Amino acid sequence: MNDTKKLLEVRDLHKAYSKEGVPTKALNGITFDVLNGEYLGIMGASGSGKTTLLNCIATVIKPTSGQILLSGANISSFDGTKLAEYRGNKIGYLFQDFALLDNLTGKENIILPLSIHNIDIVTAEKKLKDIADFLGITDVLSKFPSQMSGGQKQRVAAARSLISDPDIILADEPTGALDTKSARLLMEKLQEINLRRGRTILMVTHDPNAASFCSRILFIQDGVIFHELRRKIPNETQEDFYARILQVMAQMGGGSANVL
Amino acid sequence: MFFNLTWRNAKRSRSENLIYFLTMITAVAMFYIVLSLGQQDVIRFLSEIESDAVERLLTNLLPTVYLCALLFVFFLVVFANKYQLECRSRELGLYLMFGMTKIKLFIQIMTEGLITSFLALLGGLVCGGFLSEAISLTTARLVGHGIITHQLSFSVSAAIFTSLGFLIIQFVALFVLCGKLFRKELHQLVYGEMAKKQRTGNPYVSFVSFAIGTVILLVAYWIVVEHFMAASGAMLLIAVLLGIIGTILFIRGLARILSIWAASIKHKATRGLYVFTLRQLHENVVNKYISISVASILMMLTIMLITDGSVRIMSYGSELTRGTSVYDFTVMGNDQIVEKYLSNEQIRPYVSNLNRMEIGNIKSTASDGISSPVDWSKFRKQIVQHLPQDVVDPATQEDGMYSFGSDQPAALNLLGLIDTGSSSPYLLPVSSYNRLLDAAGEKQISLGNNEVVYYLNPDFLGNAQDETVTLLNQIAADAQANNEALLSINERPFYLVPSVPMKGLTADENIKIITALIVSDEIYSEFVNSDTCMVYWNFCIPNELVETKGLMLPIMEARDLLKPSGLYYESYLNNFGRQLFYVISGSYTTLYMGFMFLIIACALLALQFLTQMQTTKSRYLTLSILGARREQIKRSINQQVLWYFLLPLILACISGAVGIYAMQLYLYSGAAHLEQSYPLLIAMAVIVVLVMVIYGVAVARTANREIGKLNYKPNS
Repeated sequence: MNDTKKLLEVRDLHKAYSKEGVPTKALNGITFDVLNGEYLGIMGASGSGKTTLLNCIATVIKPTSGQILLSGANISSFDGTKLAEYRGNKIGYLFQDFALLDNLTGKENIILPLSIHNIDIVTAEKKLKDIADFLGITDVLSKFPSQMSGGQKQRVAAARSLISDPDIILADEPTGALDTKSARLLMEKLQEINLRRGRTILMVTHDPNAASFCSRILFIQDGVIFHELRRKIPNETQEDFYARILQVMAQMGGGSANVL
Repeated sequence: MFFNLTWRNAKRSRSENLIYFLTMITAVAMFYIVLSLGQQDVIRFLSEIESDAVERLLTNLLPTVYLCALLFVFFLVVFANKYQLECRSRELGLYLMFGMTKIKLFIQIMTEGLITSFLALLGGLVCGGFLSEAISLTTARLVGHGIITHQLSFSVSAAIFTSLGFLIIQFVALFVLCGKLFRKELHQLVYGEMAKKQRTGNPYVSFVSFAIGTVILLVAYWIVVEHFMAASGAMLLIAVLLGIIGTILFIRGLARILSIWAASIKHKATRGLYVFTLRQLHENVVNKYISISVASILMMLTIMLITDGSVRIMSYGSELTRGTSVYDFTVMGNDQIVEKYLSNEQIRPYVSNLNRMEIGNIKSTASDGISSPVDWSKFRKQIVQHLPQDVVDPATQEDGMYSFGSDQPAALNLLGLIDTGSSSPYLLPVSSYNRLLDAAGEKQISLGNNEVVYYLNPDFLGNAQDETVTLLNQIAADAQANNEALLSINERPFYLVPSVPMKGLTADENIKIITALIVSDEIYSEFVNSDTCMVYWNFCIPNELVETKGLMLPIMEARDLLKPSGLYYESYLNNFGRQLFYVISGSYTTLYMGFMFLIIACALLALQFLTQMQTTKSRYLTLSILGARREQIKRSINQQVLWYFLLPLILACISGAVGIYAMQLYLYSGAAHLEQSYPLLIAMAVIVVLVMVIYGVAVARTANREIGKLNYKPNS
């Protein structure tokens, strides 16, 4: 946690969509760093560009210009095998809709990233046991997603994002489809992953409650960083931090609706 | 504007949905082939000599096959269109949301369908015409023996009926589907169906289903092999029903096996997308087991029908060879009239080797008029000695049943022939037979008044002829060496003469003289019962004429000359035609149905696979985000397609093999039939595999292209 080495560097990132000749700027020159062991939240109204930013980092979409460096390597230049390697080993991705394959069992879903990279089963099962115990999902490993609750599904998805020991976990509205109780449980687990296991997490959310678990929050508006909040650890309580987040959101003109 | 949109949509549908277009083209080609049958070389040839039978075939059988094809293709078209409309459900929903009226949307879909149909018709008619020509040429070569000539032809009426039938089913299919489509909620159209709950199948039910399915299939196989014709076909019906139920239960239970497989093979569990591929298959089987079973049954029918058709063509086709038949014409009637007619100026050039052949039964001298004047006992004794040790003389059995064929010992065939035809055998004067031998280019024989030749009709025993004649010659030669008279007629001893070539007595195969005793002319007139005498005037077409004009033309000309005479006549060509007709009408229908079932099975599997693919394509997106490479995904899809086709095919091959074994056992007379057909069977197997490969590749390509088109849309 105290290691201040830069894990992820985002440099002057632009992303413009061009639909039928009409250009739309989703990202308009974003620059920030993520330190090793940090729990960074990205907040912003709908259409502010936060998911585009996350997708650029996840290499799901290509930025128009700018650089993204992970441990010093420029991921925008990755191609083919290197890209697959990056997606499978360097990042873990947590989706709002879980994106579990509903024809695979919990166990099969979790070890899928390892299977894709042909890791041997003994290593895979050891890791699986450890993560499943930690997330409390041992009893759903042999079930199919349709037989699990929403919270269980998201924890299985979390286990999947952790299994390959990624450098960074990218979470896109992970609590978006969960009820309050499941959302809280998941956020506690993510925090534990961050604090106890030292995993770096980058989470996009517009839920101030979820954001209050982060150590730092970037607010994005119209494709640029608009504001930054840092939780004063260890003095500031989560409730205080939550109050400060709400304050910024009020200044921005509401959290979920773009009323500006 | 409207036309531009429909034209563009139709174009997109064609390029995006190759399978759909391919299936349409195949459907059209199938219709054309069945409807243009009348134009095929063989049928044209047959309609000249067997016009009644051909007429019956064309007016009774063909419409049935056509209607049958229409019905099957209708389901195929419904299926293909359903898939097509499901893919476009969002787009169609949007049209409605933007205020397009349902009737206008219906007209648009119909117009698109019409454009696609016209292009499919064009492609299908070209393919159908080409295939029809190829079939025509092949059958003419295979069974025509150079008599049937090939003639290029295109049937306009077939093309018109094909277009009509195809357009009607296309219209009805779209009408039904649009009705269904418009009954859906707009939300359902735009946002797709509600996500279906993942069905993995109850493990216990699946396992029980697998076990029961296997047992039922085995019982069905046992019934087919052991009790094929028992209870006048009722058992066969039961076997078919059990086979269908067994196949469905077996395929359904396969889901469990695939699931256990996916979960149990540990060392492969983390090898790429191995588990994912198995799970995809597992899910497909759980959801679509009925379709897969139907495809499996259709494939089995394909295997059996194509084998049957090929065997018919090859084995009966080879029986059509001249073989033992010597004469081209047989004329019957009053001796003087026939002789006068055949020696007139016009017909004389067509007549050579004229042979007046008189045949009659031996007259009974006993007072009761029933008991045979011929004593066969010594001859029989000799034959019985040649029976294998484990075979008993049927005459000693109570039921005394006789059967003939190459699958039983030659001695048994010979005993059967003697015992069934011994009471008043036919007598044939040697002079007639010598003229026949002369016409066939064989050496003539001379018989003394105490000598006799036992004649066997070479067409009766078929494959068993050679073996039986060899045994007969051996017995006769042995007796000759020992100076033993094996037969006696009215107590007078007669010596059997060996090694006389057996030839067909007339050109008319309907005259079935199975066995006869060839005796000297003197003995003939002494023993023949003149009331039973029949006279056949046989002649050949002169060789010089055959060399210059071929066989077909002179026979036709001679036939035309004989027609006004009012005499009963039969030509080699009539026989040939009649047999050919049985071969063709049988084999054409079975081969046609076979290929039709194959195409339907393939299209069914292809469309089912792609529908499933369409509903689960977001999974591939997840895989890609988790780091799966394009090649890994491609390999997984290819394997899924391969096994999706192989699963029903493997079961179909097993069931088909049992079916073919049973057919060979009960329907064909000997193993030789199947063996003769190997070259054609191999060619057919190659075509079947090729059709499946084309469909498989088209499915894999479409699926891969669909995956390639996936764009990442967050949280959608």
